[in-house]
Amino acid sequence: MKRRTFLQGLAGASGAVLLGGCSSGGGAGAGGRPTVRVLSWTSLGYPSPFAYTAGPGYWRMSLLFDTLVWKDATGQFLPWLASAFVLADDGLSYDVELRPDLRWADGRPVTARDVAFTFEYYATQTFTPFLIGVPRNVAGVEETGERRLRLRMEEPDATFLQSVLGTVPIVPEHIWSQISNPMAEMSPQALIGTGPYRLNSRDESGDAESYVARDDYFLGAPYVRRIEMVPADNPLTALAVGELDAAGASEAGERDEVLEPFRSNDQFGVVSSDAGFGFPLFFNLRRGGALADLRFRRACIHALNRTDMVTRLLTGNGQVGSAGFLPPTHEFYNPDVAQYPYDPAEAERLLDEGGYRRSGPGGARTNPDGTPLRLTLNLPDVIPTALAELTAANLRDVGIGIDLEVIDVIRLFGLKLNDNFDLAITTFPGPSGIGPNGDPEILRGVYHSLPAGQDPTPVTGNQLHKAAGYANAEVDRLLAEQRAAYDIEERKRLVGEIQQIVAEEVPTIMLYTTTLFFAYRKRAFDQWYYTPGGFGPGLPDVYNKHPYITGRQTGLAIRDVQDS
Amino acid sequence: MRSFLSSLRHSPLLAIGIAIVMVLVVIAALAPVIAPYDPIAITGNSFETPSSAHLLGTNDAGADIFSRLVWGTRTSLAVAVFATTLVLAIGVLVGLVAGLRGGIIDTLLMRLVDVFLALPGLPLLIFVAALVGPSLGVSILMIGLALWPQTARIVRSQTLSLRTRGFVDSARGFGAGPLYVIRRHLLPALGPVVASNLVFVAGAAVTIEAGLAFIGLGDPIAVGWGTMLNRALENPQIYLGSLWLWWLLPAGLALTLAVLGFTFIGVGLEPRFNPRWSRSL
Repeated sequence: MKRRTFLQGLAGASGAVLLGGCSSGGGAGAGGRPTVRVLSWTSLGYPSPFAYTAGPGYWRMSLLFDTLVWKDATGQFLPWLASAFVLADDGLSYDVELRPDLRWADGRPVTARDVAFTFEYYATQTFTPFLIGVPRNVAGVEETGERRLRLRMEEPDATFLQSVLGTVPIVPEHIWSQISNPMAEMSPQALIGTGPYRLNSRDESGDAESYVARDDYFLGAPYVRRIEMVPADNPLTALAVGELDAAGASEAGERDEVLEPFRSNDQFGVVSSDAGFGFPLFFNLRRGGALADLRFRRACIHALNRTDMVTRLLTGNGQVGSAGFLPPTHEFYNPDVAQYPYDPAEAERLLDEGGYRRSGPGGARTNPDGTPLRLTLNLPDVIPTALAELTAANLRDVGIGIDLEVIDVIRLFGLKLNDNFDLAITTFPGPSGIGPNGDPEILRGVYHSLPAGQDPTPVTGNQLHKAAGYANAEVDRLLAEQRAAYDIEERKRLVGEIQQIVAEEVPTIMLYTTTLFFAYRKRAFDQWYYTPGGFGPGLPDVYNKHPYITGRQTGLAIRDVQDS
Repeated sequence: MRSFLSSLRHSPLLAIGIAIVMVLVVIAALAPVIAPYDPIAITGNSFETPSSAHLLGTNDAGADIFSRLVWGTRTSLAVAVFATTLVLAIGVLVGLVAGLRGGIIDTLLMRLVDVFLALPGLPLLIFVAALVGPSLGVSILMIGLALWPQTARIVRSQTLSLRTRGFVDSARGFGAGPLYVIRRHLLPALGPVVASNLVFVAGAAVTIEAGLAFIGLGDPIAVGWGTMLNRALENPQIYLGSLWLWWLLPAGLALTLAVLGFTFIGVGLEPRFNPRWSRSL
């Protein structure tokens, strides 16, 4: 848990914001290539392609290494290391052509052999689930000509373009062929890539780093000259007082009062992204009894006043979750699924119908067999306590006995992993970092009957987000089919069906999703955006390297510094 | 009793301390009556400012802060009572046995005391809380285990001193069993010294428990002053506007008041009850 002890800082914040906070050190000034200072997270690992940790680690690494394709603000894939990429007619491979004259940071030329080697190399190792850039479903990679390759899939995969071509960093053969333990390699040569930046400095703990642009980058000299990672306990305060040039609000959601100083001040811009993060409630069907009873689960959801949660906790900066899991902002959202609006009378009726009778008016309910109806609700301590209290209060109001237990994340992970809980609320995403607006493959991680470890999906699944004890053969079948559906309308139809089924059976319910906010000092850098569908493997943050390189939100042309 | 009453007259601090603690005890006992709402019930919007409906406004969930403050008295006093009882039980037992038996048992027990004194209290407390999970019971147990050694030493030292004053040996000479000696002679003599020490223990217990909750190792669901402080300070809005005045300050003041109450009692009792005190003057 973080301690916010910046009385001084916050007093300074109001002062600085009021005075129109001068930034010291950041910013372009007229005609200069900017330095941008952003937040550093702790424990990101080393920014090599095999030693980073999770989402924040991935995007740092992406400053040093490139992928074959990459997205800009349109959400479309741009040719990156690949100048051309074509899906074969049978949907089982991509033909890729590399740009000419690509060079590694040490000057050696980038060849098709490097690309082929990259995938061979990944196949020789097992990696931790925190390494989210690991390729899956790759049957093989063959060189088909000078700078030409064929990437073959084991199975047809509509996510392949994003999860492989748009995610996997290409590494130099002449370096990694000498290294047998890639995850432990922390040498400078492990950082030699094609990327737009090079690591300039790094303090001992790895918290504060700086990256400097490589002016020989294949797209041209990057617009942002220098990126500094600065540790800060409270990022928005640090932004207000001028220690950072940009900062994100809490993923758990933010109230208007906290955003107001940035919205009302012309110095700052704010971008936002709906449904970037969510809080799903899981019922452990494996426990049997009430939890395995569909009527009981539906009653629980009707008892939850989720609109009130969003208003009360976030001043409306969130969205009530859909029973089909994908949020209304999602491209594949099915609006016709069953929903369970707040209706405590209906909840009571369902519970009575199900045999969970009250002992008297306002009394506690019992199971049909007479035992008290009492369930434990587990939450990790990173979730706002108020959410725990609201959920428990809603359920108690309809007579369900709730024992609330707030425990640390690691312990909750353990409980969830072993299906050792009754009810649990977790955050979504977890370590994979791919949020509710990510590729529909996230549904696989939640609803497929196989445990996450046995069913790796291109979008990293995680046992933390598995619907415990849920197994539906039809859903499994549809999940497999939608992954292979290249035609987007067909895929939408299939994903729509999945949402329909899971909305009927509700082994889990997304309580609500939150809007992500990001505030920035315009004078320093103002091209921030949230990438549609996420960048890299589908990361929902703003830290896409594309605008740093081009100084724009779309396209590959680099903005002239004189324009600023 | 007479000496106690005369202490009261001579020491205004003692009187004030007792008054404070009595008020807190009354508040704790009458919490259901004094608090307008159930402390965990959502009875308003989030962050309401103080009004007639909510004397100190509402917190981030919409629960009444005043009610939580009132009910928090029970948590702090419960910790004071139970932790002190634990310290009393272990400390007196160990101290008496060591003082009466002497010899190898005394040596062993005092080495045990040394071990417990050498243990880094706070880090250990944090470690156990992180391991076992937050729980008031565990906190009380750990506080008790951290604070008993001092009491044991005091009891032992007093017991030894009382032993040298003939009446223990003469009672034994008349055939009195050890339990009789303890009950009839030692405990009454120990009473004042132990009471004086235990009052400080109570204050320390309240502080430590609140401190644990404050750094986030308490149960976040529990209603207590330390938890209130933690939750308020975690909130990014705490210093935007006057929120801190009714969410942060009252809980801090309540804690301060409680600890002051116990400390005043301890300080007020000391000149009369702690022989070391008067000898050192």
